[in-house]
Amino acid sequence: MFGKLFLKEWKEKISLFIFPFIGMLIFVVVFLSYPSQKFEVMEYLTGVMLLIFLPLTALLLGASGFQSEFKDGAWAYLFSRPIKKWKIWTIKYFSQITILLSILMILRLIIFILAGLKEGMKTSNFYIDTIGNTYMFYICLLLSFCAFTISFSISFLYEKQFIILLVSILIGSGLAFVSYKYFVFLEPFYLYEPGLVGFYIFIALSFVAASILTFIKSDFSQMGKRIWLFSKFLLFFLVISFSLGTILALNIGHEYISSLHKYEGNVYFDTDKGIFRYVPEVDKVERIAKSVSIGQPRSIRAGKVAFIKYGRRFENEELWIMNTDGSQKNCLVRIGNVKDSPFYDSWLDTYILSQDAKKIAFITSKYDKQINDWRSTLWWINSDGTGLKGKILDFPYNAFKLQLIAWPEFGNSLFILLRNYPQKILKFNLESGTHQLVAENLALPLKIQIPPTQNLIAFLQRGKVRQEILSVLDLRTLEKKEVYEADSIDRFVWSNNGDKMAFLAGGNELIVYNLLEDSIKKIEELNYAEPRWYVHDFEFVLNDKKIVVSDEINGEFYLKIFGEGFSEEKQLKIPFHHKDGKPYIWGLNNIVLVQNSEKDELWRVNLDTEEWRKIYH
Amino acid sequence: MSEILRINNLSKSFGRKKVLENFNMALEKGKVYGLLGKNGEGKTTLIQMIMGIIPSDKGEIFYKDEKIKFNDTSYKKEVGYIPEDSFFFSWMKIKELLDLNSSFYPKWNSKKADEYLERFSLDKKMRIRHLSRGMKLKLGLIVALASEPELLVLDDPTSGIDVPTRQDFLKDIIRELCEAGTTILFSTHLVHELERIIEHLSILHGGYLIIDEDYQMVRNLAKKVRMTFENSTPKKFDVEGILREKKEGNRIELVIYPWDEGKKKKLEELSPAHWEMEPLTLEELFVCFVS
Amino acid sequence: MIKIEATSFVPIYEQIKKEIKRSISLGIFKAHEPLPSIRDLASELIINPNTVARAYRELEMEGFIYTKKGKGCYVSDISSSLIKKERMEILNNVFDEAIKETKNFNLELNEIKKLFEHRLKIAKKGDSKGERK
Repeated sequence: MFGKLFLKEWKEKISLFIFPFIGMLIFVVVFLSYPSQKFEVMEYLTGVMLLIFLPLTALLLGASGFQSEFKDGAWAYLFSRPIKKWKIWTIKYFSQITILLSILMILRLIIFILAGLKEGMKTSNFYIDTIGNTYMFYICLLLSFCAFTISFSISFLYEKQFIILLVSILIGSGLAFVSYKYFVFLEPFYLYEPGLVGFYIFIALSFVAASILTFIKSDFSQMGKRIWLFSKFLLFFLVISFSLGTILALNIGHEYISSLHKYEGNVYFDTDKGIFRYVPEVDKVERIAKSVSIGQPRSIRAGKVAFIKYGRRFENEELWIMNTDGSQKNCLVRIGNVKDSPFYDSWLDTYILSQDAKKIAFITSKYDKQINDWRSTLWWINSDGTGLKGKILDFPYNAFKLQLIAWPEFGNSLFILLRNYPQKILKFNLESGTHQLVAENLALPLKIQIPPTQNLIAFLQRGKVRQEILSVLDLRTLEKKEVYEADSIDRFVWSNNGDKMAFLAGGNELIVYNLLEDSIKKIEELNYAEPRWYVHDFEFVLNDKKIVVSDEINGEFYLKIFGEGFSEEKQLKIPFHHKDGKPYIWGLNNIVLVQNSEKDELWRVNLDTEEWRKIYH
Repeated sequence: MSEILRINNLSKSFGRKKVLENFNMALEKGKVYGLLGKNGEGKTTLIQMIMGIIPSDKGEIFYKDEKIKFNDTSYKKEVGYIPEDSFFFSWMKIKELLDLNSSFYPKWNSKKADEYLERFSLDKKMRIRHLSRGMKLKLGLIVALASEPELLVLDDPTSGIDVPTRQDFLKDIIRELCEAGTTILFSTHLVHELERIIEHLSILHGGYLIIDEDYQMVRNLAKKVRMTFENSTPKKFDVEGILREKKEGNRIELVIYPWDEGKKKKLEELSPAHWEMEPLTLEELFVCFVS
Repeated sequence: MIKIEATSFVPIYEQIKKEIKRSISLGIFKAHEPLPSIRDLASELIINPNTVARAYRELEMEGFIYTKKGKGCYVSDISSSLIKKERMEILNNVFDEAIKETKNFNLELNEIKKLFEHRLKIAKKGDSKGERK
């Protein structure tokens, strides 16, 4: 029965193939007649085909869904057969949607072939985006699915196809617009596409549900009642869809874990859901702030956490401060779209808490039309929100690339990193407003490591013959010491007490520098990382007496622990697979946190019991 | 179980217009039922409700003593349906239509279908849109009969068809009857040929059945009396059930239902000079009942 | 060959019975001759086969026909007395109809008799003169 009805639908709709066929023919002709160099035109054309033409075809197909039943008056005939109405509906739907899918597949094939025919196209963005990525195809698929479903669902309500077409376009675009706005309202920070896709699918399914129910229950001889019944059902299901969509939007997110900071024995991190911290004493993860932007570095000092919260549609950024347990949240300043404020039309670049967390400093930039460039201002304010002061920075440097790296408790000075070439570190005196150069010739990666004591910073500098030098700068005396020189220094970390530093030199040598003794000790020759940026991560653990290294052996990942004499003591197998190189780790005395960035999970292992546990996902 | 279909208190309105009200009907297995009614009085509505095409507002329908709900479909496997203006998918070939239907009905008899096709000189490859009205009627008959139905419901299928084709159609129905003992519900406003084949007469008027009797009984009880009076004709007749009165000078023609001896006596008392009794055709009967 | 009138007062099955009996008594249907099947007769007359079935059933009960299983209905080999009886029945019906008609004209019994004899004479003359009109 199904086979016969399926075939019936295909035979009926065969004449509709003409429209897409002609469209594709025109597309091919135009495509081939344009010279190869005009990639933008190709992109545009393909975009039109995928994003406009095909959904239009879908609309037409859907609107003609029940056309033959109307034309031949076959309703009474069909309903007098011993076949359930919902079966009639669903068989029709699936038969016709397979027609749509085959048209899409043919189009995709054509595009593929055409792109291959054009010389030099394979390296263009068009090829990568359209063919390689399949991103546009999925959008096309989604649009076509929704367009078809909506118009099909209402096509049995009225016999004039044209009206159906019009109504589906109106309703479809109206709902798409409304749900987009609603979605943005729910998730103002960024658009989580799968969530919005989910929304659209829910809406399309509402149409399906309302359509099938109306089809089954309504009296076919009374059109007015039919439409009314459908509207009631549709409203009901749309309400459910929006509720489900709301739940979906508020509860799913990238869950991308970023910005992990160690501070006083706890680890702080953030995801779409907010700021969290892991407390080893209770072996638990708790949320201390809800729903903040991600990827913003945080400053954690003296029991306080500073963070940024984005306003609607990124129109403004707010600088907040709270205790490390999440209490006493306070918004200090709002930067951006706030009228009558010194921060109007400005952007927040970087911020830092003073070492005693009594003050916070931040830099904003604003585009100045008079000088045709960006202008930066350094501000500082008390942690209770009082005493805002600011100073325009007249560095002749691109403002965006400034980063505040340290604000030690002495001297009322800030240390600023200039990330643009040539990279420099400056010391800025808040009272006098003057600055002095403290270090230059920095090498990449531009990572400045500060020990918990915060009186030193470690960084890399370039040597004479393209070598890299690991340097340590005393912030009080401004004395610089060159600790080690090698072809490459890939990673360096301070110990938890701040008296030792471990680094990877030459790609495979794990070396420890003892600050107090001023000694260098080579620990181990690790395997070369392949490729180079998949470098081992290592941390000091267990009262800084041991080092734990993440390593890979034959595709499996391990934590290697190097003990007192710094000989390899233990190997702990990491209970998950990781594609992007060795996972990042953080050492907290006897606990090591391991991040599975593929699945956005955080694991911890207890070095004494060797017990693994997933603490966040 | 001798009742194949029973309808209890069926009601249906379209908007404010009440088409059927407290309608009752029962069909016994194996009999031929004639359902007469004027156009627009609800015959098609009734049949569409029986066939589950539209829902009723109130009331119940039972098929073989089992209640049918609006979306039940299993009973339809045993019911053949020939509507007025057999609508099909006009782009299909006859073969395709038959194939499609064969998948719906478990008892589909394709041999029978082929036999009928040959008898009607219909080619399987013909497209339905190219068939004449008469051919479509025949095709509708084939589809209905090839499913080996136990109940055959016809909704005025022969209106607009020429007489010879109508007669052929009826002959085929009769042939089917002989072989299978199918119960037949024949609804129409074309009354003429029905007289010879119906066993039970139902007349639908004003939303319910005003006549629902064995046909022979109705015929026996319906009389046309023609009286000629010498002198003046009586103004009034003290007799119940006069359906129609025609006057022509001294001649009066009365249609009386139901007839009994008492009424005969009363009329005789009026001493007509001349007295004649005639039977009524079904057509005349129908007209009298519905006007 | 069998004709029926749907609108007659007489039920169709009765008409069929009458026709068959008439044919038998007139020798048109001979003994052991097969009758048309129910289906064929119903089809030809465009009437309900049940009607034909009833007629046949009653004819069998009255002894005019018999059924051979699987083969159909056949004319019985009925005795001459039965035939005569039937013939009388037919004639009686014909005369009764004629008499009924005469009542409408208010004729005296003598006048009826005279009319009847007159018609008989004319008929006999027609016969002897052969086919001439």
